[in-house]
Amino acid sequence: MKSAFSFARTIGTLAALLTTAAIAFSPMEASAQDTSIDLNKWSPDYVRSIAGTAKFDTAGDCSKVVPLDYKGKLSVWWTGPNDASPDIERTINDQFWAAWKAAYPNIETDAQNVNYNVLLDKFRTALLGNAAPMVVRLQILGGVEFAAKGYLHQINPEDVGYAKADFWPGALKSVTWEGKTYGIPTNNETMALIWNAKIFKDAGLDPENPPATWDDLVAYSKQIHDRLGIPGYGLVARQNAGNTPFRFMPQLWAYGGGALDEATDSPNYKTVMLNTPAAKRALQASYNMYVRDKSVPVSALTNTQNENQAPFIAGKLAMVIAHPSEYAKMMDLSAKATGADKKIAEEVVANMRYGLIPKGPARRAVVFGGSNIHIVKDEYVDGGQDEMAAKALVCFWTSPEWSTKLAWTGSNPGNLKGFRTEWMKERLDSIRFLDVTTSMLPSGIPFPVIPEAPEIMNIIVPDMLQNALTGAMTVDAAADDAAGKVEDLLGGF
Amino acid sequence: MGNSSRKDGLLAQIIAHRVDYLYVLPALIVMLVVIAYPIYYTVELSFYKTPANLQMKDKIFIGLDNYVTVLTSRSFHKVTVNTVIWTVASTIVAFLLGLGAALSLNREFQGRGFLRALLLIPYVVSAVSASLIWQWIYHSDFGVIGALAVELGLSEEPINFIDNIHTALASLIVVNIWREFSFAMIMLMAGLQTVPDSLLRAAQVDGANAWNRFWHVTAPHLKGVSMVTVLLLMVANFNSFIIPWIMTGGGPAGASDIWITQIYELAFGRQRWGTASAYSVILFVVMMALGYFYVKALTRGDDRRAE
Amino acid sequence: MSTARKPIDWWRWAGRGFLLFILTFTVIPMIWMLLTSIKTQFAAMQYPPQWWPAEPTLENYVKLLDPTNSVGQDFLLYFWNSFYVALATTFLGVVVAIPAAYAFSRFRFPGRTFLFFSVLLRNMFPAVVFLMPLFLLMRWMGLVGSHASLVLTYLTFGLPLSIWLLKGFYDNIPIQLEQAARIDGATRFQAFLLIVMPLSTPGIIATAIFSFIGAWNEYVYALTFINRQDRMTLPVGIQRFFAEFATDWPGLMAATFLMSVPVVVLFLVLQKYFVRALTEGAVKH
Repeated sequence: MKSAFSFARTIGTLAALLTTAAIAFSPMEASAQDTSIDLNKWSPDYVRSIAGTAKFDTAGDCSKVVPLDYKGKLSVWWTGPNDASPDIERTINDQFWAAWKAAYPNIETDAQNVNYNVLLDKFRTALLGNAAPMVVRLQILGGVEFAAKGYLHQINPEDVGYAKADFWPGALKSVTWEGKTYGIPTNNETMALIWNAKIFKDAGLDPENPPATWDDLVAYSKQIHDRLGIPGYGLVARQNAGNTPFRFMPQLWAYGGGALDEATDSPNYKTVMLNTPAAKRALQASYNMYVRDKSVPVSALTNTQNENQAPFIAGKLAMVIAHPSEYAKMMDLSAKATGADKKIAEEVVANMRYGLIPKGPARRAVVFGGSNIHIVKDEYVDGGQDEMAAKALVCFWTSPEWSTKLAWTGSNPGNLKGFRTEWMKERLDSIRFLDVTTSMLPSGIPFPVIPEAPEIMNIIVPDMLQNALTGAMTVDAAADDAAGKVEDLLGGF
Repeated sequence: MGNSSRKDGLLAQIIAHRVDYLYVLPALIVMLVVIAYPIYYTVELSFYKTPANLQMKDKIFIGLDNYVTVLTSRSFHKVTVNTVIWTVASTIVAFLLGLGAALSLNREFQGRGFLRALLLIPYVVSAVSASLIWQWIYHSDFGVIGALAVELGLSEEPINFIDNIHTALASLIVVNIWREFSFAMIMLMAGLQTVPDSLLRAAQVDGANAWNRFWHVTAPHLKGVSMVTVLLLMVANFNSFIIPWIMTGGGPAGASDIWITQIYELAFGRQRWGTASAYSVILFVVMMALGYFYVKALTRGDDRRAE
Repeated sequence: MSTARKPIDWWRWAGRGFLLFILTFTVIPMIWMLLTSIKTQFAAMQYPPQWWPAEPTLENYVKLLDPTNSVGQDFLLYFWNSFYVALATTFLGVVVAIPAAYAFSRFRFPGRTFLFFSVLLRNMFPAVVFLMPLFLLMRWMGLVGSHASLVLTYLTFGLPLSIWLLKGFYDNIPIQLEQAARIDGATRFQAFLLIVMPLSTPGIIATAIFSFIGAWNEYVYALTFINRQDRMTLPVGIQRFFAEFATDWPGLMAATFLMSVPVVVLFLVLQKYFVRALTEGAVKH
């Protein structure tokens, strides 16, 4: 069952977006191979048409980079499935490591699954003590800091048997520092707007269509709160949490603002745009929801998306911005519910809808998210680097097969060839709404690719939100204050 | 203090007592290594800056700039005020509650031991547990106090405790007090044991009412214990990190930021190791001052006991 | 105290009233924690909240303690790690503190007060500030990510207090006992080992309790030093639950309760020593 978005409408919107996107991203290399992907054709139809059209032999491909009988050691850190992840992610994770072991039985592997919120800190601390792992997979915003500091090994897609054309241009941007690439994208995703159709209906809104613009979203949230007494939009404003910028930046970009000029066609990351009139309008929208209309959870100031999940599945929250995996997560929660809760949960799941994130006056935008895999330089690794083993793992991890499988519920393959695999076809057939979330990919804007970005996104932007939402500063003052902080930061504090 | 002979006798003294040092050696080694090095490191680092694009070993020397930055930053004033409020309020109220509890439990009665144990539980439970429990109680959307208030008609909406810049710090102080007062209670109960019954009886016979008995007989005997207790509480509160960090992270909008959470965020959140180190040094200095009085109070009367 | 009869003893009634207030203040949060832990996840999020759960359930506890369940496995592992670290810290702490406390109590040697001062001063420095240098130190010693790094760190947290407590106990053991033994031909060390130490058993127990509880509850260093999930201690592990469990408040409350149980039990059983320990050092006779 698809949402009632007509394909014609989708394609029309996408065509407009792609023109912008094509200018925003660096020019594509002409693709001569027949397994290449033509990003200009991107649409749900196109995605369906190429799925299942090619086969790949991962072990075979990677054996060309590193022989399968190579003997060595390997240490790797990443954020894998945790207790809150859907079961299927855990299954696939186990399959991955089993396949790895089968392909490269002589590489002794120590793999550490580290929680998302602490991985960066742990990695930083480990580097200080030269105790880092050989390979690390970090979320898309994380790597540039280490590249700038010279901790990471230079690595190109060609080094592991792929080509630059096999990856999203935005993703490659995120692993490039001073012209050189320091990582390979493993998966990329963009979020979507999720809503509860029943709540919409009960509040007198069209259950099958999301709010078209951000201003509409504010109005919807108000209507839901006024009529039903429950929060409309799951605003998230916690300090020092990645979830916050991932949800606020699309809003900021949509209105025409930005942290720096990352949303423009050729960003140079030197102009601060946090206090432009457009940015202030975006902040005002959040203020309106939290303070004026009180239509979002009061605990938004300390909430992350995790805290929105429980109210959503209990039918007490109408809209959230979340990953493709949210649907699988809700199904899981519903399966675990008992008694009277179960009925409620099942109803919520049946009423879940996915749609594009609302547009703003300037554009429709979403954070280009994902993860990259990096290799650490020898002198910082605990016990020294084993480059061949590391390359073998990177080849394996970013292969069409595994970048698709490992992104099963939550993301999409970083390696574009993954869209051609049989597994992509299986996903499209079995995962609801996948076509919607993949169609947001071209609207993706990566965060500024500078080492100061984590501080800007995780601290300065949430602080700005908190200052405005608590009334500690007016909206104008909060935006100006944040802009000032970014200026200071870029000026080398 | 230690030496009764002059400098040229010091070496002889040390040699004479060399076996004594052996008793202390293991403790000393641990302390020296695990304290001296970090202090040196922190002080050194406070004179450098660590920008985001350089490795730690390439840090840049900037002299006293970090100290200037810290002391003149807009947030320093606010954070200092918060810290003072946090420390003083927690200490005083915890002390008073402890005093009240100690006085109430001073007479033997059935179940006294049980009550005392019950009151000590918050002290024994970890700060993490306390933070999580109270976070749930204070929750802006589902918290029990807020709901109770609405149900009793005291307010229209659930009370916002920790997502509100005006009440965040006070709410945290309550949690801190909840954890600490029984420590004061125990100390003061011991102190109350030293109040001679005879004096109290005499006062009663003289017609003094309960309040006067307390003020003129009991209180003077509690002075020593009270001083120690207050000092210990102040020290612990000044450094108390877990409750503010876990419950609000110093927010919202810095309303519950105290020195120690600010330092943590500077170091681990913003990677400003130099600035965080300077801040820490300032904290040391203040604590050293407190420490001087602390030790003086505790080591009174020690010299009598040794051989 | 005298039992002279008075019509209304305000003081006593004030005392009772206060006691009631303070008991309520202490106990209500704990009760709410327990009540929440027996609710289902959705029930906990009802607004207005259910005072008594409509469907009370022990499933949260079962989940945490069930070794066949992945949640239970993790929890039990954290439990064991905490136990191991706390025990090691306690044992080593006692072994190191005893001779030191004795020396500070009995001996007069140059620098004694300065040393005592510095040992106590440790208590004053916020643990948080030393995180990074200590991490580097552990790296240099090759202890990164191991339980040993925690034990060593906790040792230094606990030592000042332990030494101070034990010293208080030793101060109250009459010198004459040792002197009598020395006259009978025992060396100072023998007198210490055979006469004084057994007498200070309550003090040793008290010190052990403090060390154990301190190590069990510690959070910040455990969070920073331990990377591997299978080596985490309870406070950190529970926080992890919170970050990942999509706000499973009932589960979290159940975990909090279970985490507190050993410490509270230990404390209740050895309460006498605990109280004595705190007061022994505080009150000089």
